[in-house]
Amino acid sequence: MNARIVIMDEPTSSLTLTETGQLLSVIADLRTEGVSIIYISHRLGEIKQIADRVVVLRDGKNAGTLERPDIHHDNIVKLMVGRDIEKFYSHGSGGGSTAFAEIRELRTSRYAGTPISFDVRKGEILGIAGLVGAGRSEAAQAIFGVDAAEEGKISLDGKRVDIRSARDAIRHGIYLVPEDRRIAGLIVDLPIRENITLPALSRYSSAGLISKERESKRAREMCDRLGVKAPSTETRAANLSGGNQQKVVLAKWLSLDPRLLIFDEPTRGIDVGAKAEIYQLMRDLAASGVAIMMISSDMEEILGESDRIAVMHEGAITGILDRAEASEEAIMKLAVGH
Amino acid sequence: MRKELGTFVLLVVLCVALAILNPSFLASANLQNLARLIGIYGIFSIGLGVVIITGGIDLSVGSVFALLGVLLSIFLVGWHLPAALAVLAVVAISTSLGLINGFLITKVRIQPFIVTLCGLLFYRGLARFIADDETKGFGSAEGFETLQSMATGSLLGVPTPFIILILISIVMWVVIHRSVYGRYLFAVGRNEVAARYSGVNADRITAGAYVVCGLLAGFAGVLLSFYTNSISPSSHGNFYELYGIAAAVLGGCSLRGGEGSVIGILIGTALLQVLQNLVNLLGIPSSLNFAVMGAVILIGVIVDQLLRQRKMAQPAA
Repeated sequence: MNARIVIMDEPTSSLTLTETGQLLSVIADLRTEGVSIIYISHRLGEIKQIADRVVVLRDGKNAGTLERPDIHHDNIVKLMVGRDIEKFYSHGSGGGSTAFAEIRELRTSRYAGTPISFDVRKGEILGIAGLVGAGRSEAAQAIFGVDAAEEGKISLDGKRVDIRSARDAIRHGIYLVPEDRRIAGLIVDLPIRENITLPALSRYSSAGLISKERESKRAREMCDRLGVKAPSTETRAANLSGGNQQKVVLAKWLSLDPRLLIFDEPTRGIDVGAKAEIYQLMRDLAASGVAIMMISSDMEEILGESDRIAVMHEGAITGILDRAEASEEAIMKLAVGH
Repeated sequence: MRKELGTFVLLVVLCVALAILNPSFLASANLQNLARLIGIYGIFSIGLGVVIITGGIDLSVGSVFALLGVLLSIFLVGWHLPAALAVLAVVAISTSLGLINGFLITKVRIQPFIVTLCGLLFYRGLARFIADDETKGFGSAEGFETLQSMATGSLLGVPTPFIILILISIVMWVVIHRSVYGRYLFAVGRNEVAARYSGVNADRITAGAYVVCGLLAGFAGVLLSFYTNSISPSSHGNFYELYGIAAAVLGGCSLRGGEGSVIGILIGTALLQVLQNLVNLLGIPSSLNFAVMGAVILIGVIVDQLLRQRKMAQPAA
């Protein structure tokens, strides 16, 4: 092929350690043959090992360049982070000190080798930080039962709960606001009303027959409470804006009684106004005693809304930070596995 | 609702045209026979519609009819089982075959098309083997005249299969359009992932659809056996699954799942039977039978597609 420039985008993300070693030695050979290589990776260890020069991108912009002698972990991380956090956020405010949800030795099918254990306290927002692919969504899906955990114990309020399906989780008051609301959060072709009542139809039916009046009443209440902007509860979810769709997903769970509520990227693709409303809702829920987990790749959101922050890397929890210790640098260090 | 309306208009237009072109369309004997056939076809078409709403398909229905016909004849004529027991056994077998389809599709995760295609081949072969490839029948129906009259008789001038269809339609209308199960059915058909994320046991809902389809095929299979009165295992029920699928699609069911109605399926069934009747009454060579049906269904689907595209082109409400 006579390659002159080879671009590699996260080439090791699905390789084993040995394979990674082999790849890196191939890269070294190519370099001695005079081939230029652009190596994109979130694994700082590999970067340190092979890079002659490092360019750090942040928010799509060039955040800085490092020459070989300056390629150190801390220097890279410094370039990756570093912004002022707006006053937009509540900066955490609550959280008791006793564990409410206890997750022990949870093994997801994707990261079966790295069991995770952590607590979520009543009334707190536990931020879950980490890079994309760190296993955060997998952990959330395992706790919610949609992608059953290989192994693991979950207790709520000291009582062991057995979760094999989302139905089990819902019965115990564990709900997930998933990352992709148009695929997993909502059935977009159905009206708002049917989306809200779907998890607990038995509440709106007698003898197996649904009462549309009872459904509509509840759906209207929930839409008013959350400020869903829609012509009526019969509007198809597909016709709503991202923020309003997310509110409908929330309405679905708040129409029940949440005990542990998991948000996966709660404000992705949502306008600033709706974002603020969703933060306020989260804060109110926490204040009312709901335990909240918030997975987010948005550093400002993590720092701005969490009471504590658990950081994941390659399927493992590499650290749990209190508000006082939390900073972008501290999180990023843990997120890249140091 | 708009989709059913289009098919309904087409049905009315065809009936009026046919009545003008050949007044014997309105003869009571013709209308009675038409209603009898709509009864039998409607029952299993509703079952297929339920499966199609989940986004699935059942190709095995026609072969199951052959198997059920052969078994019914053996039970009644060969073993002299009481009529009620024989019917119960046949319907139970058909329902179980639906359960097997449901199991293979949801637990073994084989595509519905493949599972039921294998069923189409397997049950046909089984029927021929059991019958020794000989045509089976019911003779003079001695001892089960009442049962036979369910298929061939009338009540106040209305053929009994049509009455049975009306009763089944009412039950299925409630199940599909008013019950919790029906709501789950559409939810799974529209978006199985989101349904699971809302705690719906999608596998059970889907498997349930195949069981319902098997149950209704059981009823229709019994009626069909007595209607034809002779069961040639190699041809009995041939293509019937396709009539059912065509009726469901004409009636507004989408093969992508999540769409359909009992009323629509009934209109679709009636339309197919009137078309068949048209071929007979207008003296169109019966060899063209399938061609006429295929052409009309295709035109119907094309018109529907054009209307849908026009609707999509308008700004969303």
